[in-house]
Amino acid sequence: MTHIQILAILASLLLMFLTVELIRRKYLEEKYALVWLLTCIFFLLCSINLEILSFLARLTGVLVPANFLFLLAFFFLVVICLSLTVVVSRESQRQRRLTQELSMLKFNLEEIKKRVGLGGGEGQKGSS
Amino acid sequence: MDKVLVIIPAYNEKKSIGGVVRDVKTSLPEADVLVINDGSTDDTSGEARQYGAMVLELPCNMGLGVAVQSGLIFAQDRGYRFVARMDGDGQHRPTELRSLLAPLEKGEADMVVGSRFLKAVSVSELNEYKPSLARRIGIGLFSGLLSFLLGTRVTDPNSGLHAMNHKSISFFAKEYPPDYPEVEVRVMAHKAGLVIREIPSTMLHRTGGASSITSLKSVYIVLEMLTSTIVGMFRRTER
Ligand SMILES: Nc1nc2c(ncn2[C@@H]2O[C@H](COP(=O)(O)OP(=O)(O)O)[C@@H](O)[C@H]2O)c(=O)[nH]1
Ligand SMILES: [Mg+2]
Repeated sequence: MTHIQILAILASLLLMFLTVELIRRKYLEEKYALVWLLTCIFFLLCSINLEILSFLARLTGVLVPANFLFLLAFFFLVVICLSLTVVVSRESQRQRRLTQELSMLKFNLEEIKKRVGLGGGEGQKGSS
Repeated sequence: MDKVLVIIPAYNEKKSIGGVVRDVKTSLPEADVLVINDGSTDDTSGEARQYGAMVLELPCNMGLGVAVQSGLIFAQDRGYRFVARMDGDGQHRPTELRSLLAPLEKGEADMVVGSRFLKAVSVSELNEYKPSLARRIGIGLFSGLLSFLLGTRVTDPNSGLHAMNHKSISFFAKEYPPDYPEVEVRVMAHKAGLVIREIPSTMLHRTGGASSITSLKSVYIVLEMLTSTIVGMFRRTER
């Protein structure tokens, strides 16, 4: 085993540990975690058995196995980024709806409060 | 007269909002005024309330379109027949609201837009607004593009002086572009088969505060609007 191979295995394990830990602490939801776990496993397999990479490189006609890895990594990152912006867009749409709903609720609440004489209505709040 | 709601999206407009609300109330006493405070860090809400406006408060800054849509949802919820929308910075003239609403009342249009570039109105204001060169180029670009895409003359694609009838209100309460909404609104209205009418209007200089659109940001904004316009043409809309 070469040094670089050991390093790669350690890095893969570290990434896997990190992912599992993030899931355990609920920082990462399972549905997103799966992609990362599979990635870790792929990295680990590739670093343990170098033949996998060479085989895949031969299969696709890439001359240097390392380049195949770069290609794969690049493609993977682009897809991840794209899906992240999709997620962010969806979340901000939901956030907008919630904000609007909240502002309406707050308005109605203040109105009702004022009507039943609970104080703290808009008028008082405005002049304070 | 039917219930009219004037909605005023405002972001940090403490200096001007009071005067705007007061002038709207004078020009259109029968209307209700709703200021949508889009997470201002100043006391925009207090100032607006003091002059008799209702205030809808968004907890954080969500963008102009989100604020406008909130106003439309409010109007729909409370059964307002017409909505007029104007800026909170004092650049639109409340005296023009009545002529803005007229085509709706006569049933001639579903949506009316005040255009700064349609002449016919006596322009004697010393304070009249002259857009910067960069803005004129942007406006020219979009009025050309929209006129081409929509097949009707669009003279002021960036105007924020709008009036809507019930049909438009319920359409846009459902979906409204969140950022720099004006251009896309025209595309959406066209695709939804809403009848749009432009009428001449004048715009004044800001009475306080600063424009939210800085020059550096404007390049990005133009590209963003361009994308949303072109993509918007191909988007499916249920009528
Ligand atoms: N709700 C909301 N309104 C905004 C925001 N930025 C600007 N506005 C309002 O939109 C109107 C026009 O904005 P302004 O900055 O004057 O743009 P300009 O007139 O095109 O230079 C004013 O009433 C502002 O208060 C924002 O982030 N959220
Ligand atoms: Mg302005």
